[in-house]
Amino acid sequence: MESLGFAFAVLLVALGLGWPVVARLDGAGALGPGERLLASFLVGAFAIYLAVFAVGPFRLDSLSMGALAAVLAAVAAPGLMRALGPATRAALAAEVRAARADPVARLLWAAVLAIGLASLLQGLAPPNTFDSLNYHLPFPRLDVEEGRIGVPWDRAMKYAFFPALMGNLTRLALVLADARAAQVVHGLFALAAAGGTAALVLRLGFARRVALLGALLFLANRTVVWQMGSVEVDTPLAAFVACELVLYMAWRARPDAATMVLFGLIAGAGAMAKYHGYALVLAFLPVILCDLAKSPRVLPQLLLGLGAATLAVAPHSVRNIVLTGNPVFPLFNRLFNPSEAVFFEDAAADLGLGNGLAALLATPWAASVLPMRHFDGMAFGAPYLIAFAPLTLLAPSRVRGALPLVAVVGAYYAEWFWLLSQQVRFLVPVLAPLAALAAAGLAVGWEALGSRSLRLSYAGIGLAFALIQAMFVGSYALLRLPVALGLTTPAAYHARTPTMTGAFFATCSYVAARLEPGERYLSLLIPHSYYCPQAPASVHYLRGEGDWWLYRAEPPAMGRDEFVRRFAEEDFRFVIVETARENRSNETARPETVTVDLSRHRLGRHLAPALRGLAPLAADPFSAVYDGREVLRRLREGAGARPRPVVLPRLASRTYGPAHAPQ
Amino acid sequence: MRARLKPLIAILWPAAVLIAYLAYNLAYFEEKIATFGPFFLGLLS
Repeated sequence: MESLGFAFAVLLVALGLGWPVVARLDGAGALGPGERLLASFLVGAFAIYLAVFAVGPFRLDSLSMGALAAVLAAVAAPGLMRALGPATRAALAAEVRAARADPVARLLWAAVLAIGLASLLQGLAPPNTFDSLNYHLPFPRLDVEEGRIGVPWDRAMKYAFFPALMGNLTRLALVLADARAAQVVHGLFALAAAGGTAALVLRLGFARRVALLGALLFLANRTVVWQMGSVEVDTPLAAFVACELVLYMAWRARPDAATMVLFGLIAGAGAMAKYHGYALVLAFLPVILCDLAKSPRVLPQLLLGLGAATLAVAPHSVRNIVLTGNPVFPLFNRLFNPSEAVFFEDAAADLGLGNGLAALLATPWAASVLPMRHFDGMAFGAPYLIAFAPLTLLAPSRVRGALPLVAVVGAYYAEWFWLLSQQVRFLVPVLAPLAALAAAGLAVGWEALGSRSLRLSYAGIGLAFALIQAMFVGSYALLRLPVALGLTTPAAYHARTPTMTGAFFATCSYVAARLEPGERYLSLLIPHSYYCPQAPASVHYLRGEGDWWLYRAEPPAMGRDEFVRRFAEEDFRFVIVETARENRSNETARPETVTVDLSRHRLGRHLAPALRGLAPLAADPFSAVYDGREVLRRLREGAGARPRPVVLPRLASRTYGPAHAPQ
Repeated sequence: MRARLKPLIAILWPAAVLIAYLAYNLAYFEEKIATFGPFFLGLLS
């Protein structure tokens, strides 16, 4: 209940903080009540991010965050009263009346609420997605343990410099509640994105029931369901993109400087949820240039929007410039730091059909229909988007206003195809317009069918898609809800729940329960799980090895004697290592266990002989904990042994492997 | 677009996507049912 209470409080405070800004910038009333709530929530969440950004580097504990929360709540109170005022209540009453009068709308509302609520509650399950365990949660936990937001240079993880809008909400949650609260907060963004999808459908001129269908198509997407129970950030970015499109369509209908400023603010805030938000801003360029060509007098308004977006990204960019010399570190590092390390340059080549024109045209089909063959798993589930969105072409006049949606989706798709890693989940940011177009296409297809028999066939096809998707949606509910609702224990959940490499829950919990204050331990886990204590750990590198990874691809050499000496100095209480990992990167997602060869690891090659034959203190199928003092004794006994040189793995690229997304 | 073609496309295109998806992913669903079926049955028991 504490986690849900925290998430509910974040919702209310965000609405209250954002409403006055949105109401002022929407003085002309270009937005509907629901659209205002959506924009207010996102602006308010951005304000909370900024507040944690400002205070956290000095102090991140229950006192500072509690005081911050109290101040934010007090500031938000008047705005919240206005946000929930007569206009919002009247809109809600109208929605209820409409649902009462329309059985189809009632059914769709029931489905939207059932999937939305079930997915939101899945956030109460213990975290177990790879990126959540790898960095979305560990960095905030590290900061909480350190008592302030810092820079984890020793971790050699570029992700520490990613935008932190969602990360700062996580930090707040970890201080005032727990990780589950952070997950539920992330889930709220998915609900916001679903609302944005409905708003887009309504702006296209379709009926309320089609709008509900759009929201349903968004919420039923497999990656959305998967991410709603996690702190992954693709789905939150989708909420910002949906809102950007709503605002752009509103501005396009009635160009107004204030609406464009709000658009810029939301676009900048979206880029602070995930760097892909920058690609989305760029994706608006074709439609913006088109509108500018038609009406050059809107240029000052567009410049104001650009200014608002620039201001929104400024704090993060300035921090990155100060720390690394690159405002978008680790992206485009070759441009900003020509003599230093480059990152992600091989990311575009790891998945997909290729980079030619034929591949560009065939990829939507391949990613939807045979995703296991060329892409990162069954990310979307049933391919209902590609089945129904193209049907809008049957009645172009019905979707005349859809140009911004189509242009932004098309431009972003081209960026994703040529510039980004072709992970299908990276298309989630444009899922709201895609779901809106699919709902519109479903309606257009229905209207194109005159006879009862054809409509029955059409409904049957739709039902088949629904049943397949229900399998994916239901699977996640069955996996996560029992533990979320307290019907089983986290230990049992982690032991029985299939996940990529395991969360290392048992072994990390063992360390967490026994490590005394002031003691340290060595971790060769990938990921160094959120469940492990963060601050007392040396993770893959030893303390003081510093920021070498900014300048070169390979870590500095560490010979055996040096390693043993440093190991003794650190007086590691435990050593925790990965022993196996699960690979599902095959066409059927069949789990294949692969034994980890420690001798291929920079430090593991020194450790491997000492661990051979040593009984672990604790172990699970993927990891083991050893007594640090015993390991040191064995290391010293074999001090003369010299391992043969090995090629070191590129640890940092691990999370961009194809096995990352849901299989 | 000719009015007669529209109903055909509205039916045939989604049907083609559905059939292709099921055909290409039959092995995937078999594997999923084999892996997760006992797991879910275990949860219910």
